[in-house]
Order: sequence, then C-alpha cells, then structure tokens
Amino acid sequence: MAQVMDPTAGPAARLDPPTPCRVLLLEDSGMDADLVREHLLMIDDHAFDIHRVDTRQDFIDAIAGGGPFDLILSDFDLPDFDGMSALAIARDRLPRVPFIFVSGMLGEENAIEALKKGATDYVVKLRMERLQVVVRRALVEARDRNELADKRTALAESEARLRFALEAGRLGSWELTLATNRLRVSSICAANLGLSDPSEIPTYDRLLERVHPEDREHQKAMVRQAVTSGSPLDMEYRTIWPDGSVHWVQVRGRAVYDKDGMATGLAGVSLNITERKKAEERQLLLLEELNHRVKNTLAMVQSIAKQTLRATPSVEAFPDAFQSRLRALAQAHDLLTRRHWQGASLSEIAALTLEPHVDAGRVRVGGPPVNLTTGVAVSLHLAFHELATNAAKYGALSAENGRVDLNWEIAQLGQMPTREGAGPIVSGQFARSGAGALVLRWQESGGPPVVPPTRRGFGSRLIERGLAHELEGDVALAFDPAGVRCRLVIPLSSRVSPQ
Amino acid sequence: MTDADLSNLTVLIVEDEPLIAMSLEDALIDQGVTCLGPAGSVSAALEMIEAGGFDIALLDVNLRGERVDAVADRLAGAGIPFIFTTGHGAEGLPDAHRTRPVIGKPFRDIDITDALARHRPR
Repeated sequence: MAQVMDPTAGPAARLDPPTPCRVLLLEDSGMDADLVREHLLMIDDHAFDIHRVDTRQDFIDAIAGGGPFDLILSDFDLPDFDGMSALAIARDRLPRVPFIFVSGMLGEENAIEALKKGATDYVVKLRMERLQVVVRRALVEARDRNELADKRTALAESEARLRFALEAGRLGSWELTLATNRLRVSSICAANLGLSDPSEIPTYDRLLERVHPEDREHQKAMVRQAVTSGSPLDMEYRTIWPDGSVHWVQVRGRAVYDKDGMATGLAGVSLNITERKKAEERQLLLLEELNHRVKNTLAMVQSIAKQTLRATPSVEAFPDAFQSRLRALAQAHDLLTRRHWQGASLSEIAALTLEPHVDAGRVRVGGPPVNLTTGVAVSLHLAFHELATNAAKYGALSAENGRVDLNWEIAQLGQMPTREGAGPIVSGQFARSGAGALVLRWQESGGPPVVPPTRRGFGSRLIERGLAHELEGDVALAFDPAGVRCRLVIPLSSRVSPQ
Repeated sequence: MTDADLSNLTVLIVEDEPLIAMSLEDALIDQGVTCLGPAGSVSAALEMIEAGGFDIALLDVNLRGERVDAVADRLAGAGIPFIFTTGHGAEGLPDAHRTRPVIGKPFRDIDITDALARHRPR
C-alpha cells in the first residue's frame, strides 16, 4: 500500500508547480478550519486551494455551482446541518469526489455507517496527523478510480462505435473457441446464413451444416490453416439458407492466442457478398458476350475485306470500297448500341443510310412499323448501303432528277406478289409460317439507263445470296433499264415482326 | 497442307452470319468443294441433315442465340464428321461434343481447308 499511497509525479509535474487540489471544507469552527489547513500544507507535492463553507445552504451552493472539487472534508456535527446529510448530497451530486469526515467526536457506529454510505475515510481531530496520510491515499485512489472509469467509458464508447460500424457495414462478428468448438455469432452473422437467431449455430459443426456441401471441405481447410499457420483467414463460401436459396458469405478472421502462444480460438467478421458475386457473374457473362461479339465482328470484317478484294476491279479501288463498308458496319453498331442491342425498327435502319438523300428530296421512305432483331437489322442495313452506293455511283442518285422509292407493307399469304409470269412466291419455310410477310420494294427511277453488270458484285451477292438465306425469304434484284428494282419478301417471325 | 485434296467433297455450311457464310463458300469453291447451305438456324440445319448429300459439316456453335447441341447430336448419330466454328472459346461447345475439332473465328481459309482435309471421311 505504501507505493500506492505515494503518488509518483511524472517528470512534467516536477517541472511545473503542482496544480492546486481544490478542497471543499465544511467546518463551522474557524480554529478547526485552520488546523485542517495546517495539516494539509504539510503534505508534500500537493498544493491546496481550500473553499470553506459552514452552513447547509453554502454547502449545497458550493456543490451545485462551485468546483470542480478534488476533495471534500466535512465536520460531522454542525449547528444547522449534519455530516451524514452532507455526505448524501455529495454522493448524489459528486460521486467521484472523495469525501472525508474530520470530526472531534465520531463513534465507531457512526464511522461504520459513514463508510457504508460512501464516505472515503474519517479522521478524528485528536489524531489530526492522520489527515496527511488519509488525504494522500484518498487522492491517489480517486485518481486511479477516475482513470479506470474514464477508460471504461472510452471502452464502452469504442465498443458502441465498433458495433455501429459493423451494423452500418452489414458486418457480422463471430468467435470460435477451439477447445470446445463453440461458436458465438452476432445476429448479422446469423442473418448472413439466413437465420434469425444466433443461437441456431452454437458450434462450428452446426455452422458447417449451413455451408454448401461443395464448399465445406474448403471451408474446413481454410479454418485449419488459419489456426495452424497464424495467417489471416479470408475466404468466400456459399451457404444454403433454410428456404433453399444459395447465398455467398465472405469471412475474415485471425487466430487468437493465449499467453504461451497457443492458438485458443479464431475471431473475425462475416459479410453477405451475394450481390457482389451476382454482379461479378453478370460482368463475366458480359465479357464473354463482348468477346463473342468482337470475334464475330472481326470475322465479318474479314469477310467484307476478302469479298471486296474479289469484287473490286483494281487494287486502287479497294480502300474506298472497303472503308465505306466498314463505316456502314460501324453505323449499324452505333444504332444497335443506342438500342442496347435489343434490335431496331425498319424505318430507323432505312434512315441510317438514306436520311441524307431523303432530306435532299431524292429518296422517299415509307411503311408500317416493323421490328427487327440485331442480326436482321445489320444485314438489311448493309443491303441498303450497297443499293444506295450503287445508286449514287451508277443509278438514280447519280442523275439530277433521279429518285428512289423505298416502301414496305405487311402482306397476308394469298396476297403475295408474283414474279412476272410466275406464280406467287412462296418458299418452303414461308408457306408453313402462314403469318404473312414483309414485302419491301426498292425502286429507282429518273436515272441514266441501267446497264446490267457483267458480273455480280459484292452488293448483289450480299442481297441475293446472303440476305435471302438469312431472312429465309425471297429476293428479286433486277437491273431494269428504267431503274434498279429490288424486292424482298420476308416471312414474319420473331426476327421480323410488325409492331 | 496448302494444297489439301478437297476434290469431290461436299460440305454443309451451318452459319447464321451471311457475310461469313459467303466468305466460307468462296474459299471452299476455290478449292473445288461443293457447298450446301448455308443453314442459318437449328431447324434449317436439321432439315438439311435430313436431306443429306454431304460428306462433312462446318458447324457454328451458336445460331441466332440458339445452341447447336441438337444439330451436333444429329450429325454424330448419322456418323457424319463435323468441325465447330466459334467466336467463343472451347466453353461454348456442346458438352457431348467437346472432343470435336474446333476452329476459332476469325479464321484463315487454310485453317478451314486443312481441317476439312484432315477430318473428311476416307
């Protein structure tokens, strides 16, 4: 106790004069008050600032308004007041401040009663020399007690902040005791496993039952490794909720050791990462789809290059023809991207190529609303591009008064247009569909007389072979001297549908 | 294998992208191959297999968003060899046919002609 009673002042305290200790002294006798003051002055390393009161009201006022006090010294018997009432008031208002009775006469019973009620100590005036020891000890103990209380408050606040952070971050916390396999989990941790009650997983084995069977061995291995190697635990596993749904959990933790360095447990946090996992899966799918689309586009570019090279009369003519087709392909991609690759309407596709000519009054476009899937939209766009390029070079759009009419309608089976002299055009596929067809006509007029090409170029081939195959329809491309005509009869389907 | 012997060979082309199908046709016709198709959908491909008259098939693994497992099954059942063409990796292949030859898109003409020469029925 000697060490505890001897307050060790830090180096800083030795350099500065000690902060005076504020004492509230309840004493009606001036002589006794002086006696107390003298004894206090004899205490080393402490200075005292004494505030004396001698009535009940002054005492109450001092407690209410004065201070802060580091110490209360009180007589036991006062003319209008008594020490026990003063003690009750002090304990109520200033529970942390040491309260010492300094009294001429204090029977053993009173002393015991006073200590029970919260007095720190007592000194009888006949043995006033004890005051030094008692005050020192009271001050040291109060300081220690206050420090402890401050730490407890700080710890409680820190815990509250931690709990708030865990809850805000939807982080569950858990603790595993290795010797017993007992598991303590927070309610968020249980919720991550689809459980409302943390007591449903009281042991590690019960937790494992909740882990997806395919992930169980991995889970056990990772936990074992964290315990034996001391490396942090950081893993993701699937869990099956009571309703059968599968969710993802991430756990992070670390082994806990005793003073001999033996691992006694594992503690950490858990997080529901199902949404993140789903987003990752979506992203992966998207990347795969993108890869597929890019490869397909590269293959298309390659085909366009090869076929353009075959069809162009000279190497010099190649770059222009190739680049113009690449540009057309890029335009289609732009439009489809704006439509989130959900397809496009026929009029949008027609406008992509023909809008400048429509604005110039050279092309008329018209027909009912028709929806196209992405593949059909790209093919039709490339076909329109070929027809328009040809018209601008050799056909109606190369002459001042030339015109192009592009129109379409939905025709029912039986009202199908006929080829000159032949019966109705009904391909095998198409006769079965029975849902009618999109009949689309490109008609040039007012241009120079059309000379049929000596060999079929890329455009003709794309329209007559590619388009006909892709749309499972009938294509008639005619180099009529009065103007190029093209008619597509495309059976309606999920790929080509009226709005 | 640049001058792989592809004479007297008839190939069914199953491909939904007309530009790619046309380019395949060009390459094969140059080598004296007879081409059937292109079939651009699973149902069209099944019809053409039913009709027969070809030695080997080039099979795109995805036709307008539809998987070609049924087409591969039918070809395998009929004992007709086939070669996958795909823009996906090997993951996109039908599970039952993972050991079949695969050519990734975009491909060189020589990749196609070599594969046809190697896998054509003897």
